[in-house]
Amino acid sequence: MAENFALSLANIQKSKIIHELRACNELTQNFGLQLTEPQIVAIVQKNAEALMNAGRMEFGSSVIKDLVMEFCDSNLVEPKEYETVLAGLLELFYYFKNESLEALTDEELLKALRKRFDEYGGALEYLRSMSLEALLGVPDPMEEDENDEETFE
Amino acid sequence: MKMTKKHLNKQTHITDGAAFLLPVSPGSLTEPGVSGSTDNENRDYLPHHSENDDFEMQLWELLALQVRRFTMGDSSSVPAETAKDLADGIRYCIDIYLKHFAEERSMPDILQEMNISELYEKGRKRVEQLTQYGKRLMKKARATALATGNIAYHDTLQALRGFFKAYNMEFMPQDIPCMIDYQLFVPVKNKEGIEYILSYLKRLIIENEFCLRFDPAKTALLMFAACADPIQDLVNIFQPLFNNALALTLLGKDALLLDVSEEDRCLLGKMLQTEDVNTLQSVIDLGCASLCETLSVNNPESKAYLALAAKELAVRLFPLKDYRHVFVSFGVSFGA
Repeated sequence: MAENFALSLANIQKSKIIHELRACNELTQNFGLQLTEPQIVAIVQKNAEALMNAGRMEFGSSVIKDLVMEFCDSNLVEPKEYETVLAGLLELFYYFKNESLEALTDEELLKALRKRFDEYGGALEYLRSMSLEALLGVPDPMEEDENDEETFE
Repeated sequence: MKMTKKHLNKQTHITDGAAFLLPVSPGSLTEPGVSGSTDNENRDYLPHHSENDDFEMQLWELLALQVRRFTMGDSSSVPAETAKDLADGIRYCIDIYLKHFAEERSMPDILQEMNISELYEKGRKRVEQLTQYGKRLMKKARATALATGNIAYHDTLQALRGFFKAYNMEFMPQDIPCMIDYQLFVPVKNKEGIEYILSYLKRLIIENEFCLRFDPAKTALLMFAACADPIQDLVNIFQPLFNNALALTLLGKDALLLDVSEEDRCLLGKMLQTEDVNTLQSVIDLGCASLCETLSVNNPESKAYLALAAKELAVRLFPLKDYRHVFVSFGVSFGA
Protein backbone atom coordinates (compact mmCIF):
# COMPACT_ATOMS: atom_id res chain seq x y z
CA MET A 1 0.00 0.00 0.00
CA ALA A 2 2.80 2.41 0.95
CA GLU A 3 4.62 1.74 -2.31
CA ASN A 4 1.48 2.31 -4.41
CA PHE A 5 0.90 5.54 -2.61
CA ALA A 6 4.52 6.54 -3.10
CA LEU A 7 4.15 5.93 -6.81
CA SER A 8 1.05 8.08 -6.97
CA LEU A 9 2.92 10.86 -5.17
CA ALA A 10 5.71 10.56 -7.72
CA ASN A 11 3.09 10.85 -10.46
CA ILE A 12 1.64 13.96 -8.83
CA GLN A 13 5.13 15.48 -8.81
CA LYS A 14 5.61 14.52 -12.49
CA SER A 15 2.26 16.04 -13.48
CA LYS A 16 3.28 19.26 -11.75
CA ILE A 17 6.54 19.45 -13.70
CA ILE A 18 4.78 18.62 -16.99
CA HIS A 19 2.40 21.48 -16.33
CA GLU A 20 5.32 23.82 -15.58
CA LEU A 21 7.14 22.82 -18.79
CA ARG A 22 4.03 23.39 -20.89
CA ALA A 23 3.85 26.88 -19.41
CA CYS A 24 7.55 27.39 -20.19
CA ASN A 25 6.88 26.57 -23.86
CA GLU A 26 4.80 29.72 -24.16
CA LEU A 27 7.82 31.82 -23.24
CA THR A 28 10.58 29.82 -24.95
CA GLN A 29 8.81 29.84 -28.32
CA ASN A 30 9.91 33.48 -28.54
CA PHE A 31 13.45 32.08 -28.76
CA GLY A 32 12.48 29.38 -31.21
CA LEU A 33 12.59 26.65 -28.59
CA GLN A 34 9.71 24.33 -27.80
CA LEU A 35 9.28 20.89 -26.37
CA THR A 36 6.69 18.53 -27.79
CA GLU A 37 4.47 16.56 -25.41
CA PRO A 38 6.57 13.37 -25.78
CA GLN A 39 9.72 15.44 -25.22
CA ILE A 40 8.24 16.97 -22.07
CA VAL A 41 7.42 13.49 -20.73
CA ALA A 42 10.92 12.31 -21.65
CA ILE A 43 12.56 15.27 -19.89
CA VAL A 44 10.52 14.69 -16.74
CA GLN A 45 11.57 11.03 -16.79
CA LYS A 46 15.21 12.00 -17.30
CA ASN A 47 14.97 14.44 -14.38
CA ALA A 48 13.73 11.61 -12.16
CA GLU A 49 16.60 9.40 -13.36
CA ALA A 50 19.17 12.17 -12.90
CA LEU A 51 17.91 12.76 -9.35
CA MET A 52 18.08 9.07 -8.56
CA ASN A 53 21.58 8.73 -10.02
CA ALA A 54 22.73 11.70 -7.96
CA GLY A 55 21.01 10.37 -4.81
CA ARG A 56 18.88 13.47 -4.49
CA MET A 57 15.20 14.22 -3.95
CA GLU A 58 13.16 17.09 -5.28
CA PHE A 59 10.23 18.70 -3.46
CA GLY A 60 7.62 21.11 -4.64
CA SER A 61 8.68 22.96 -7.76
CA SER A 62 11.38 21.46 -9.96
CA VAL A 63 14.66 23.00 -11.04
CA ILE A 64 13.77 22.20 -14.69
CA LYS A 65 11.72 25.35 -15.03
CA ASP A 66 14.60 27.50 -13.74
CA LEU A 67 17.00 25.66 -16.02
CA VAL A 68 14.80 26.38 -19.04
CA MET A 69 14.51 30.04 -18.04
CA GLU A 70 18.30 30.34 -17.59
CA PHE A 71 19.21 28.83 -20.98
CA CYS A 72 16.32 29.65 -23.30
CA ASP A 73 17.87 32.88 -24.60
CA SER A 74 21.17 31.20 -25.49
CA ASN A 75 21.77 31.14 -29.24
CA LEU A 76 23.96 28.07 -28.63
CA VAL A 77 20.90 25.90 -28.03
CA GLU A 78 19.65 24.54 -31.34
CA PRO A 79 15.92 23.76 -31.45
CA LYS A 80 16.59 20.19 -32.63
CA GLU A 81 19.00 19.62 -29.70
CA TYR A 82 16.90 21.39 -27.09
CA GLU A 83 15.73 18.20 -25.36
CA THR A 84 19.24 16.65 -25.35
CA VAL A 85 20.80 19.83 -24.00
CA LEU A 86 18.23 20.12 -21.21
CA ALA A 87 18.75 16.48 -20.22
CA GLY A 88 22.54 16.93 -20.21
CA LEU A 89 22.32 20.11 -18.17
CA LEU A 90 20.06 18.43 -15.63
CA GLU A 91 22.65 15.71 -15.06
CA LEU A 92 25.40 18.31 -14.73
CA PHE A 93 23.29 20.40 -12.39
CA TYR A 94 22.76 17.56 -9.89
CA TYR A 95 26.36 16.42 -10.21
CA PHE A 96 27.74 19.86 -9.35
CA LYS A 97 25.10 20.36 -6.67
CA ASN A 98 26.47 17.29 -4.89
CA GLU A 99 30.06 18.36 -5.55
CA SER A 100 29.40 21.71 -3.91
CA LEU A 101 28.18 19.95 -0.74
CA GLU A 102 25.04 22.08 -0.82
CA ALA A 103 27.09 25.27 -0.59
CA LEU A 104 25.72 26.63 -3.88
CA THR A 105 22.15 27.77 -4.31
CA ASP A 106 20.23 26.62 -7.40
CA GLU A 107 20.52 30.12 -8.82
CA GLU A 108 24.29 30.38 -8.31
CA LEU A 109 24.88 27.00 -9.91
CA LEU A 110 22.62 27.73 -12.90
CA LYS A 111 24.43 31.02 -13.51
CA ALA A 112 27.84 29.30 -13.33
CA LEU A 113 26.67 26.60 -15.76
CA ARG A 114 25.34 29.19 -18.17
CA LYS A 115 28.59 31.16 -18.06
CA ARG A 116 30.75 28.13 -18.92
CA PHE A 117 28.19 26.84 -21.43
CA ASP A 118 28.52 30.12 -23.34
CA GLU A 119 32.32 30.15 -23.01
CA TYR A 120 32.66 26.63 -24.40
CA GLY A 121 30.27 27.18 -27.28
CA GLY A 122 27.54 25.06 -25.77
CA ALA A 123 29.71 21.91 -25.71
CA LEU A 124 28.39 19.86 -22.80
CA GLU A 125 31.31 17.41 -22.99
CA TYR A 126 33.66 20.20 -21.82
CA LEU A 127 31.42 20.95 -18.88
CA ARG A 128 31.31 17.25 -18.05
CA SER A 129 35.10 17.13 -17.76
CA MET A 130 35.24 20.15 -15.46
CA SER A 131 35.82 20.21 -11.75
CA LEU A 132 33.55 22.32 -9.57
CA GLU A 133 36.42 24.75 -9.00
CA ALA A 134 36.92 25.14 -12.74
CA LEU A 135 33.21 25.67 -13.23
CA LEU A 136 33.19 28.42 -10.61
CA GLY A 137 36.55 29.84 -11.70
CA VAL A 138 38.15 29.43 -8.28
CA PRO A 139 41.51 27.78 -7.45
CA ASP A 140 41.44 24.04 -6.81
CA PRO A 141 42.34 23.58 -3.10
CA MET A 142 44.14 20.29 -3.87
CA GLU A 143 46.38 21.96 -6.44
CA GLU A 144 46.99 24.83 -4.03
CA ASP A 145 48.16 22.35 -1.38
CA GLU A 146 50.54 20.74 -3.87
CA ASN A 147 51.97 24.14 -4.84
CA ASP A 148 52.40 25.04 -1.18
CA GLU A 149 54.40 21.86 -0.61
CA GLU A 150 56.63 22.60 -3.59
CA THR A 151 57.31 26.13 -2.32
CA PHE A 152 58.05 24.75 1.11
CA GLU A 153 60.60 22.29 -0.28
CA MET B 1 6.12 8.33 31.24
CA LYS B 2 5.41 4.78 30.34
CA MET B 3 5.78 3.54 26.80
CA THR B 4 2.74 1.41 26.11
CA LYS B 5 2.23 -1.16 23.40
CA LYS B 6 -0.15 1.20 21.64
CA HIS B 7 2.54 3.85 21.55
CA LEU B 8 4.83 1.38 19.87
CA ASN B 9 2.11 0.64 17.34
CA LYS B 10 1.74 4.32 16.67
CA GLN B 11 5.46 4.58 16.21
CA THR B 12 5.42 1.77 13.67
CA HIS B 13 2.65 3.50 11.82
CA ILE B 14 4.40 6.85 11.68
CA THR B 15 7.50 5.16 10.35
CA ASP B 16 5.31 3.45 7.75
CA GLY B 17 4.35 6.91 6.66
CA ALA B 18 7.96 7.67 5.84
CA ALA B 19 7.81 5.05 3.10
CA PHE B 20 6.47 7.85 0.89
CA LEU B 21 10.12 8.62 0.28
CA LEU B 22 10.35 5.54 -1.94
CA PRO B 23 9.74 6.80 -5.50
CA VAL B 24 12.78 8.92 -6.11
CA SER B 25 15.40 6.73 -4.55
CA PRO B 26 14.05 3.22 -4.19
CA GLY B 27 15.60 1.08 -1.54
CA SER B 28 17.99 3.71 -0.25
CA LEU B 29 15.81 5.43 2.30
CA THR B 30 13.54 3.03 4.09
CA GLU B 31 14.74 0.67 6.75
CA PRO B 32 14.31 -3.05 6.18
CA GLY B 33 10.95 -4.32 7.32
CA VAL B 34 9.48 -0.90 7.85
CA SER B 35 6.69 -0.94 5.33
CA GLY B 36 5.58 -4.55 5.50
CA SER B 37 4.34 -5.08 9.02
CA THR B 38 2.44 -8.30 9.51
CA ASP B 39 1.54 -7.48 13.09
CA ASN B 40 -2.20 -8.04 13.43
CA GLU B 41 -2.52 -5.57 16.27
CA ASN B 42 -0.93 -2.93 14.07
CA ARG B 43 -3.30 -3.77 11.26
CA ASP B 44 -6.30 -3.06 13.49
CA TYR B 45 -4.74 0.15 14.51
CA LEU B 46 -3.97 1.53 11.06
CA PRO B 47 -6.35 4.02 9.49
CA HIS B 48 -8.41 2.88 6.51
CA HIS B 49 -6.88 3.13 3.06
CA SER B 50 -8.19 6.61 2.24
CA GLU B 51 -7.30 7.93 5.70
CA ASN B 52 -3.81 6.54 5.29
CA ASP B 53 -3.42 8.17 1.87
CA ASP B 54 -4.49 11.49 3.33
CA PHE B 55 -2.10 10.98 6.25
CA GLU B 56 0.81 10.31 3.91
CA MET B 57 -0.09 13.21 1.63
CA GLN B 58 0.00 15.51 4.65
CA LEU B 59 3.37 14.06 5.66
CA TRP B 60 4.69 14.67 2.14
CA GLU B 61 3.52 18.29 2.17
CA LEU B 62 5.03 18.84 5.60
CA LEU B 63 8.31 17.33 4.43
CA ALA B 64 8.32 19.60 1.37
CA LEU B 65 7.83 22.57 3.71
CA GLN B 66 10.66 21.41 5.98
CA VAL B 67 12.96 21.02 2.95
CA ARG B 68 12.14 24.59 1.89
CA ARG B 69 12.84 25.83 5.42
CA PHE B 70 16.05 23.79 5.61
CA THR B 71 17.41 25.11 2.31
CA MET B 72 15.94 28.54 3.00
CA GLY B 73 14.27 28.28 -0.40
CA ASP B 74 17.65 28.24 -2.13
CA SER B 75 17.48 24.69 -3.41
CA SER B 76 14.71 22.67 -5.02
CA SER B 77 16.41 19.37 -4.19
CA VAL B 78 18.34 17.86 -1.31
CA PRO B 79 20.46 14.71 -0.91
CA ALA B 80 18.25 11.71 -0.20
CA GLU B 81 20.03 11.28 3.15
CA THR B 82 19.03 14.81 4.17
CA ALA B 83 15.44 14.18 3.09
CA LYS B 84 15.40 11.04 5.24
CA ASP B 85 16.81 12.93 8.22
CA LEU B 86 14.18 15.64 7.83
CA ALA B 87 11.44 12.99 7.56
CA ASP B 88 12.83 11.34 10.70
CA GLY B 89 12.70 14.72 12.44
CA ILE B 90 9.00 15.04 11.62
CA ARG B 91 8.35 11.47 12.77
CA TYR B 92 10.27 12.15 16.00
CA CYS B 93 8.21 15.24 16.89
CA ILE B 94 4.91 13.50 16.14
CA ASP B 95 5.96 10.49 18.22
CA ILE B 96 6.89 12.80 21.10
CA TYR B 97 3.44 14.37 21.00
CA LEU B 98 1.73 10.98 20.87
CA LYS B 99 3.81 9.60 23.73
CA HIS B 100 3.38 12.57 25.99
CA PHE B 101 -0.17 13.70 25.33
CA ALA B 102 -2.20 11.28 23.29
CA GLU B 103 -2.21 8.49 25.90
CA GLU B 104 -4.22 5.56 24.62
CA ARG B 105 -6.04 7.29 21.77
CA SER B 106 -5.71 5.89 18.29
CA MET B 107 -4.22 7.77 15.37
CA PRO B 108 -7.47 7.97 13.36
CA ASP B 109 -9.17 9.55 16.40
CA ILE B 110 -6.40 12.10 16.78
CA LEU B 111 -6.38 12.88 13.05
CA GLN B 112 -10.06 13.78 13.24
CA GLU B 113 -9.16 16.61 15.57
CA MET B 114 -5.93 17.90 14.06
CA ASN B 115 -3.85 17.51 10.94
CA ILE B 116 -0.29 16.27 10.70
CA SER B 117 1.18 19.78 10.69
CA GLU B 118 -0.59 20.58 13.96
CA LEU B 119 0.57 17.28 15.47
CA TYR B 120 4.11 18.04 14.36
CA GLU B 121 3.97 21.59 15.70
CA LYS B 122 2.72 20.42 19.10
CA GLY B 123 5.46 17.78 19.18
CA ARG B 124 8.08 20.37 18.25
CA LYS B 125 6.92 22.61 21.11
CA ARG B 126 7.18 19.64 23.44
CA VAL B 127 10.74 19.04 22.22
CA GLU B 128 11.49 22.67 23.08
CA GLN B 129 10.06 22.22 26.58
CA LEU B 130 12.04 19.01 27.07
CA THR B 131 15.20 20.80 25.93
CA GLN B 132 14.65 23.51 28.54
CA TYR B 133 14.13 20.81 31.14
CA GLY B 134 17.32 19.15 29.89
CA LYS B 135 19.26 22.36 30.53
CA ARG B 136 18.07 22.33 34.13
CA LEU B 137 19.10 18.69 34.47
CA MET B 138 22.49 19.60 33.00
CA LYS B 139 22.99 22.17 35.75
CA LYS B 140 22.14 19.53 38.33
CA ALA B 141 24.51 17.02 36.73
CA ARG B 142 27.31 19.57 36.99
CA ALA B 143 26.35 20.46 40.57
CA THR B 144 26.50 16.79 41.56
CA ALA B 145 29.60 15.99 39.47
CA LEU B 146 32.06 13.66 41.18
CA ALA B 147 35.57 14.71 42.17
CA THR B 148 37.17 12.13 39.93
CA GLY B 149 40.04 12.37 37.50
CA ASN B 150 38.36 10.01 35.06
CA ILE B 151 38.81 11.55 31.63
CA ALA B 152 35.76 10.00 29.96
CA TYR B 153 33.56 11.25 32.81
CA HIS B 154 34.71 14.86 32.46
CA ASP B 155 34.80 14.79 28.65
CA THR B 156 31.23 13.54 28.63
CA LEU B 157 30.03 16.27 30.99
CA GLN B 158 31.69 18.79 28.68
CA ALA B 159 30.16 17.16 25.59
CA LEU B 160 26.71 17.17 27.19
CA ARG B 161 26.97 20.94 27.64
CA GLY B 162 27.88 21.14 23.98
CA PHE B 163 24.78 19.13 23.10
CA PHE B 164 22.53 22.03 24.04
CA LYS B 165 24.43 24.36 21.70
CA ALA B 166 24.56 21.93 18.79
CA TYR B 167 21.07 20.39 19.12
CA ASN B 168 19.06 21.06 15.98
CA MET B 169 15.53 20.78 17.32
CA GLU B 170 14.09 22.53 14.28
CA PHE B 171 15.19 20.03 11.66
CA MET B 172 16.87 16.99 13.20
CA PRO B 173 15.58 16.63 16.76
CA GLN B 174 16.24 12.89 16.66
CA ASP B 175 20.01 13.44 16.51
CA ILE B 176 22.41 13.44 19.46
CA PRO B 177 25.13 15.84 18.32
CA CYS B 178 27.73 15.03 20.97
CA MET B 179 30.11 12.23 21.94
CA ILE B 180 29.10 10.36 25.07
CA ASP B 181 32.04 8.22 26.16
CA TYR B 182 31.12 7.67 29.79
CA GLN B 183 28.99 4.57 30.13
CA LEU B 184 26.24 4.36 32.73
CA PHE B 185 25.81 1.18 34.76
CA VAL B 186 22.38 0.72 33.15
CA PRO B 187 22.65 2.18 29.65
CA VAL B 188 19.82 4.15 28.04
CA LYS B 189 18.30 2.13 25.23
CA ASN B 190 15.86 2.79 22.37
CA LYS B 191 15.79 6.54 22.74
CA GLU B 192 16.88 9.31 20.42
CA GLY B 193 17.50 13.04 20.54
CA ILE B 194 16.53 15.00 23.62
CA GLU B 195 14.73 11.99 25.10
CA TYR B 196 18.01 10.07 25.17
CA ILE B 197 19.82 13.02 26.75
CA LEU B 198 17.14 13.44 29.42
CA SER B 199 17.29 9.78 30.36
CA TYR B 200 21.08 9.82 30.35
CA LEU B 201 21.24 12.93 32.55
CA LYS B 202 18.64 11.60 34.99
CA ARG B 203 20.55 8.35 35.39
CA LEU B 204 23.88 10.14 35.65
CA ILE B 205 22.51 12.39 38.43
CA ILE B 206 21.17 9.37 40.31
CA GLU B 207 24.56 7.66 39.98
CA ASN B 208 26.33 10.88 41.07
CA GLU B 209 24.10 11.33 44.11
CA PHE B 210 24.60 7.71 45.08
CA CYS B 211 28.39 7.99 44.81
CA LEU B 212 28.43 11.27 46.76
CA ARG B 213 27.12 9.39 49.81
CA PHE B 214 30.52 7.72 50.20
CA ASP B 215 33.84 9.01 51.50
CA PRO B 216 35.83 10.23 48.43
CA ALA B 217 39.04 8.66 49.78
CA LYS B 218 37.35 5.27 50.05
CA THR B 219 35.82 5.73 46.59
CA ALA B 220 39.29 6.41 45.17
CA LEU B 221 40.73 3.31 46.87
CA LEU B 222 37.91 1.21 45.49
CA MET B 223 38.37 2.58 41.96
CA PHE B 224 42.08 1.72 42.02
CA ALA B 225 41.16 -1.81 43.06
CA ALA B 226 38.34 -2.13 40.52
CA CYS B 227 40.17 -1.15 37.35
CA ALA B 228 43.65 -0.95 35.88
CA ASP B 229 43.63 2.80 35.32
CA PRO B 230 40.79 4.80 36.94
CA ILE B 231 41.88 7.92 35.03
CA GLN B 232 42.18 6.60 31.48
CA ASP B 233 39.84 3.59 31.48
CA LEU B 234 36.27 3.79 30.22
CA VAL B 235 34.84 2.65 33.56
CA ASN B 236 31.60 3.34 35.33
CA ILE B 237 32.28 4.82 38.78
CA PHE B 238 28.92 3.92 40.26
CA GLN B 239 29.25 0.20 39.52
CA PRO B 240 31.98 -0.85 42.02
CA LEU B 241 30.45 1.35 44.71
CA PHE B 242 26.99 -0.08 44.21
CA ASN B 243 28.29 -3.65 44.04
CA ASN B 244 30.37 -3.42 47.20
CA ALA B 245 27.82 -1.40 49.17
CA LEU B 246 25.17 -3.96 48.27
CA ALA B 247 27.49 -6.84 49.19
CA LEU B 248 28.23 -5.31 52.60
CA THR B 249 24.51 -4.73 53.17
CA LEU B 250 23.81 -8.39 52.38
CA LEU B 251 26.46 -9.34 54.95
CA GLY B 252 24.90 -7.05 57.54
CA LYS B 253 27.93 -4.75 57.50
CA ASP B 254 28.30 -1.00 57.11
CA ALA B 255 27.78 -0.22 53.41
CA LEU B 256 29.75 3.00 53.72
CA LEU B 257 32.97 1.05 54.43
CA LEU B 258 33.01 -0.07 50.77
CA ASP B 259 35.78 -2.63 51.31
CA VAL B 260 34.88 -6.30 50.71
CA SER B 261 37.41 -8.74 52.15
CA GLU B 262 38.31 -12.22 50.92
CA GLU B 263 36.34 -13.65 53.82
CA ASP B 264 33.35 -11.52 52.87
CA ARG B 265 33.53 -12.87 49.32
CA CYS B 266 33.49 -16.46 50.62
CA LEU B 267 30.37 -15.72 52.62
CA LEU B 268 28.80 -13.99 49.62
CA GLY B 269 29.58 -17.03 47.50
CA LYS B 270 27.69 -19.25 49.90
CA MET B 271 24.84 -16.82 50.02
CA LEU B 272 24.49 -16.04 46.32
CA GLN B 273 25.61 -19.07 44.35
CA THR B 274 22.47 -20.86 43.32
CA GLU B 275 21.07 -22.83 40.40
CA ASP B 276 18.06 -20.56 40.21
CA VAL B 277 18.48 -17.04 38.84
CA ASN B 278 15.16 -15.98 40.39
CA THR B 279 16.37 -16.91 43.86
CA LEU B 280 19.52 -14.89 43.30
CA GLN B 281 17.44 -12.00 41.99
CA SER B 282 15.22 -12.06 45.08
CA VAL B 283 18.21 -11.92 47.43
CA ILE B 284 19.81 -9.06 45.47
CA ASP B 285 16.49 -7.18 45.36
CA LEU B 286 16.12 -7.48 49.11
CA GLY B 287 19.68 -6.27 49.58
CA CYS B 288 19.02 -3.33 47.28
CA ALA B 289 15.87 -2.32 49.18
CA SER B 290 17.79 -2.46 52.43
CA LEU B 291 20.67 -0.45 50.94
CA CYS B 292 18.23 2.26 49.83
CA GLU B 293 16.92 2.44 53.39
CA THR B 294 20.40 2.58 54.90
CA LEU B 295 21.55 5.32 52.55
CA SER B 296 18.21 7.18 52.75
CA VAL B 297 17.57 6.87 49.04
CA ASN B 298 13.93 7.93 49.09
CA ASN B 299 13.34 9.45 45.65
CA PRO B 300 11.15 7.00 43.67
CA GLU B 301 13.13 7.52 40.45
CA SER B 302 16.41 6.84 42.25
CA LYS B 303 14.96 3.76 43.91
CA ALA B 304 13.68 2.50 40.57
CA TYR B 305 17.10 3.01 38.98
CA LEU B 306 18.87 1.19 41.82
CA ALA B 307 16.38 -1.65 41.40
CA LEU B 308 17.33 -1.78 37.71
CA ALA B 309 20.99 -1.79 38.68
CA ALA B 310 20.28 -4.67 41.08
CA LYS B 311 18.70 -6.66 38.24
CA GLU B 312 21.74 -5.95 36.07
CA LEU B 313 24.03 -7.09 38.90
CA ALA B 314 22.10 -10.33 39.40
CA VAL B 315 22.37 -11.14 35.68
CA ARG B 316 26.12 -10.55 35.78
CA LEU B 317 26.62 -12.54 39.00
CA PHE B 318 24.60 -15.61 38.06
CA PRO B 319 27.12 -17.38 35.79
CA LEU B 320 30.14 -16.49 37.98
CA LYS B 321 31.92 -18.81 40.38
CA ASP B 322 34.48 -16.24 41.42
CA TYR B 323 33.35 -12.82 42.64
CA ARG B 324 36.80 -11.17 42.81
CA HIS B 325 36.08 -8.81 39.93
CA VAL B 326 32.59 -7.93 41.11
CA PHE B 327 33.07 -7.39 44.84
CA VAL B 328 36.59 -6.01 45.05
CA SER B 329 38.97 -5.46 47.97
CA PHE B 330 40.95 -2.32 48.68
CA GLY B 331 44.63 -2.65 47.87
CA VAL B 332 44.16 -5.59 45.55
CA SER B 333 44.81 -4.47 41.98
CA PHE B 334 42.50 -5.30 39.13
CA GLY B 335 43.37 -8.64 37.59
CA ALA B 336 45.21 -9.93 40.66
